[in-house]
Amino acid sequence: MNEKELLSYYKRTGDLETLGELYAPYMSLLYGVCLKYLRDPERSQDAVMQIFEELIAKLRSHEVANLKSWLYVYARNYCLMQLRKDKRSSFVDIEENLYESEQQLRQDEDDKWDERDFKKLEDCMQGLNAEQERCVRLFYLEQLCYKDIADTTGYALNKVKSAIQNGKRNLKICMENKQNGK
Amino acid sequence: MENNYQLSRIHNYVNGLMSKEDMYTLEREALDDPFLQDAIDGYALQQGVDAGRLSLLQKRLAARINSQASAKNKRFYSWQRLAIGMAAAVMFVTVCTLLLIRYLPQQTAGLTEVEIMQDHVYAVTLTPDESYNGKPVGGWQQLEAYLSENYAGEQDLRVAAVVLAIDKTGKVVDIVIKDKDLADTDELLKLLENGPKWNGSAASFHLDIHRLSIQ
Repeated sequence: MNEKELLSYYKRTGDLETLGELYAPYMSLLYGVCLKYLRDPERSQDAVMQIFEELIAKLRSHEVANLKSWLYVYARNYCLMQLRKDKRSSFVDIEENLYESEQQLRQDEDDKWDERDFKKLEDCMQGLNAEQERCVRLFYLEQLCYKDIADTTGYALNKVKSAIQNGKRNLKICMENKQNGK
Repeated sequence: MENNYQLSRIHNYVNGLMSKEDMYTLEREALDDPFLQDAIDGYALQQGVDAGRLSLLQKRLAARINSQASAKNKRFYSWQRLAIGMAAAVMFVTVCTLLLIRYLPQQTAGLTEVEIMQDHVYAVTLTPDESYNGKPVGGWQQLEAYLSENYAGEQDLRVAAVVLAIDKTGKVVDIVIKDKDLADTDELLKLLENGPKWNGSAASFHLDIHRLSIQ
């Protein structure tokens, strides 16, 4: 059975082994996500198990089209809720992670680009701040990895990463605005 | 499995064991897949993938799934037990009810007769005719006691011979009363029909019932 069939089978029967089969492939990724937000191996393990517990009911009552993104959003929300519960030990700045949540379910459709689009892209690139523009160019055009970009520019690795993420987001917004303003 | 492949990539990436091209590819992927990006960030914070913890997690998941399965079995068996228990209880109640139905009327009959006995106390003398093979179960004396206890007729009764025909189950099937002195014998017939069971095929006895006067 593929994932979709397993999902609908679980929805019908509530068979826990099936749910385990669905869950196991994502467990290591989920654990990584929990580690990112909770920053504690023990807590993260408990969180992964707790999410599984919640799925037992949730996956029977919800229609889930894309299990992977759904799981990601669910796990993320779970962790953020946990952090909200104990504000004291809030490690993660939510603003800083806004980028991921905004685009989480969007699938990039491959539109055909014509000459004008490249022109627009170049305009938008000029609109980015220097840091973002440099990092985006190095990453997408020179195809350098984060580490090399950090070495080349002298920025910290984290800065490189967020510059690329934010630059990509800003470009996208800019392109969409130009598209609509046609 | 795709999962393990991805995990080892994350591990290599976090620990700097990847070529620059592979790092770039993974970074590109992660930009379009926030799930992957978050997982990488998480493992990076822990300085790599801890295989021990992950396998522990897998064991916990397996244990969780199995516990549900065995709990289901437990519940199943206890339902079965409950059903058996219920059936037994129903049968017990049925048997008790049947027993009550069987014995209760006789008890009440005995009780009313005891009340009547307060007025009349009878002496019963019973002389068996040994030429017949029949005998009451429990002996002649018991039959005598039964009659004197239960006889509630209005008059004395003197009978030359009571002849009983007995069937295979020990039940009285026919009663002939010879040389009765014109007294009412319905009460006696009723008592013998409902009385003790008999051994043998026929029996006969001489009977003398007379009232004792109470001063």
